[in-house]
Amino acid sequence: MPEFARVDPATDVAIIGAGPAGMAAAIEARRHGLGVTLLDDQPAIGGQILRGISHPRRVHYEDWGLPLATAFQQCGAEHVRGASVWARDGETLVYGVAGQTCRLRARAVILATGSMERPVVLPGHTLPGVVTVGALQALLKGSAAVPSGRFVLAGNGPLLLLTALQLLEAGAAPLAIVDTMPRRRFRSSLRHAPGLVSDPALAMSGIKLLARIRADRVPVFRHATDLRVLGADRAEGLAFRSNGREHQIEANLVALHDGVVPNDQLAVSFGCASHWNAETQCYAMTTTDEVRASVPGIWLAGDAAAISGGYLATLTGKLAACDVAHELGAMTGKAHGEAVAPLLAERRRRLRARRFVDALYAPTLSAAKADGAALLCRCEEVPVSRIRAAIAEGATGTRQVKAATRCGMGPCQGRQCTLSLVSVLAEELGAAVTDFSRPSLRTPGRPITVAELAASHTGQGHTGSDA
Amino acid sequence: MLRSLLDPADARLTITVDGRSFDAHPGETVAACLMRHDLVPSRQTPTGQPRAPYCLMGACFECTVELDGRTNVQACLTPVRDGMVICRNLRA
Amino acid sequence: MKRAIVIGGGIVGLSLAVGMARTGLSVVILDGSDQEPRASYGNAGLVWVQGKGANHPPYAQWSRRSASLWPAFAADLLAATGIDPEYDRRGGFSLCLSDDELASRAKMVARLSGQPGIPDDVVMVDPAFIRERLPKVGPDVIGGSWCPADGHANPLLLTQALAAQARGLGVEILRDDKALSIGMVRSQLTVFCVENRYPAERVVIAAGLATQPLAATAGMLVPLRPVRGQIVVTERLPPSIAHATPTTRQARAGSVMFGNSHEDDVVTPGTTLQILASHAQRAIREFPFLASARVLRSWGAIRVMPADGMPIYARSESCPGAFAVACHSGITLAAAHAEIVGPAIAADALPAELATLSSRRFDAALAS
Repeated sequence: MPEFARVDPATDVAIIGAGPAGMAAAIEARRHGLGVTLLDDQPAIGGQILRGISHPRRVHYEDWGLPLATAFQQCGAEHVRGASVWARDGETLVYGVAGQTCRLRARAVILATGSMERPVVLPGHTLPGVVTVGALQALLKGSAAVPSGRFVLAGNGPLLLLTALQLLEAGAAPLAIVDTMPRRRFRSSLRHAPGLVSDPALAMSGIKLLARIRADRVPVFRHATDLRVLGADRAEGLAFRSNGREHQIEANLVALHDGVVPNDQLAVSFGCASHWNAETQCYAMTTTDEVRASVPGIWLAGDAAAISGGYLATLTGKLAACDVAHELGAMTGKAHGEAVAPLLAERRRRLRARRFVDALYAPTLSAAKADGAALLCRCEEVPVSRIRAAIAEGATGTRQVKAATRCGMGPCQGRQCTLSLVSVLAEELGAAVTDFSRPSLRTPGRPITVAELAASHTGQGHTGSDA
Repeated sequence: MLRSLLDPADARLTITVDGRSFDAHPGETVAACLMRHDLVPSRQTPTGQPRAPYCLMGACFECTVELDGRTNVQACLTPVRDGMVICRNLRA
Repeated sequence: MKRAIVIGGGIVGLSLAVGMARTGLSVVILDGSDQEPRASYGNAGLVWVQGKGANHPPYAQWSRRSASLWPAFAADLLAATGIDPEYDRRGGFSLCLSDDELASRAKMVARLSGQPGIPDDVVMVDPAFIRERLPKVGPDVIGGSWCPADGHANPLLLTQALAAQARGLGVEILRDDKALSIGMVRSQLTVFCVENRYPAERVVIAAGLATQPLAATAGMLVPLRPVRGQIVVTERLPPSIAHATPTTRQARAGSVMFGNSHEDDVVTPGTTLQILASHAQRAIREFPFLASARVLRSWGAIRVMPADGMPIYARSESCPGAFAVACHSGITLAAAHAEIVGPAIAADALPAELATLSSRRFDAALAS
């Protein structure tokens, strides 16, 4: 029989995620004298956007990044690396580190699990050699690795341009940028542009990026459609249509990007409510006072709650920690009100600028319009055509499609296919995404061994062998 | 498919993949090391389709390998360690 | 053409609909939405006879009857739809890990033995017998019970296959018009829904837990309780467990489902770590190799439990032509529901062998 879990000393605040939101929350909670344990599944602090910050290589970080990381390292929070949380049992978080199960009891939990790349669906996208643009960021910042052969970047979103620039600076030149932003989208997004004055830096950065890339003479193919990855056993190139012509670029690495979405798997598996956000075309966590999740004892900060970028993540991290401090009696109501007012005001101001960005970078590689042969569920290898067939045969919701096709039943438990699934349902049934319930998630929040599960609780439940 | 920006002389760790030895940099992840050495595919689906690391941040489970006897370990979340033994379990 | 309405599109409703459609009735299924409990998505898939009706021989016989019809039922579904419900009937075990479990199991087997009308083939077996058929079983397994007539199927594929077969027989499946009551409109049997009303010659309520309130509107007493069952599902594994047990079973695609828990009167689906962990502990004791298998997901589905545990077959007096069927073992009884009960209801009757399983048995209980 496996040993029982290691029981950590109880703490005041458990924070999940060591990105900007998590680190900011930890610093703020420590300021109020609270005991803090930060659990992060990555090998080092930084999350995605600040990955590698504790060993900064020749990579440019935003100017608030290094001071934040330094302040975190000095704030006195416990930091557990490689810790992957998979359940919540009352006030106790259950996590694993290299196969060992651990239990951590905390009076408050702040989920700061950040964002992930929006799942894309196109023919050939599961071949070896196809990665996300975020993956290139992770490789550069986390492992100091850059593409070495022929590679292209394809999709839509500021990260595409930013990554192209970073790779150029590191000596790795993409063969092309295949930009999928539809014609006329810029013009139609302009009605949100007045919001940009609330965050001029955001406005300028996009324009600067484009100028730099043109200067480096990386070909940019615009308004690209009908993307498909070529190759049988691995990626050998990217085919697409642009400016009325068919193009094919030979490459052994294809990086795709279609925006980012909240990495909310854990929050949902803890029972926190979410809702569809039509502006960002993905789910956002339902909160009160911006930071409280629908489950008592759980707070949300950063992109995990709703996509708003790295800097705003530090604000909501602080807001969540202040709310926790107030709740746990470490901060008076008056002090709390005074602390959060300016944070909320700044957040509101900067969020106005995001409406333009959200409109500009709405998804372009959605499963809803994808070729039937493309795989919608990577884990269970379910093509879009099978999903459409299940709907044609009468499936009217996510559970029924799941039951008929096994979509969502693999190791990723819907992370890479839920958004695709609801978009196909909406398309095929002429309905709104909000007409379909989001698949529910249960323990474990990520795959664990039976031994880890056995070790997580003393058990003695109602198990019996009566049929 | 990938190259390291680090000094090759710093690639002083050794890992074994399917019985063969490869150099590794301290601090790089197993997934990055596999891709650097073109060890793709890194796994196969139940029906035998080739797969390799995709998201590199722990959200897709495509990069799972057998590592030091433990199955289904996410290579992108695991820093290399000297002497690590990795099996991709690829069927011919 | 006579028209029949089946309220409920799960395994019970689909099986009955198929049985009725085959007699020439025009059948419409009023199925609930994706948000309903839908027990057909939340069960382990056993086609099981050992232990059923240990205290009531007619139920033991009824389970046997259905199990004996299952092979042809499954073959028929595959031939008609191309979907294989993956029915395996190689015999099943109930594994015992303690002297108490062994004693309690032996008592049940003794009660069954010598019951009229069923084969005397449920027996207690020793570890050697078990190990011969389940080589991966662990040393903590000190014995168990065995029945060669037990087996299992894939509930999701079964549902899909039944739905395809029903459609092939011209059954129409309507969703999103929720049934509210059954009544008579100038001697016409009618189902009243939120949007429409549907007149019919036959109405069968097979709506899971909702069967109780719906049946009451037609004067039928169908006492049911919700019970939550939590199950853990692993990744696909190489074939290792050839015979099903109520606590652990390997699907044909390779996933192992384990855990057998009953939380009475719980109405919220979901899981608890305490129960999942104790399932895992038991699974490792039964099959030590499972310790390193990966758990991908779990669920805690709300299932249907009749008040005395046995299926309920009801026939309305106030609304002639209206029936209700509710049970816990919808998979095991699917064959009998399709082959026997559906056609009987089409002929406006319930099979004689179900007399003691009628809802009238609760009238007596209430009167006392």
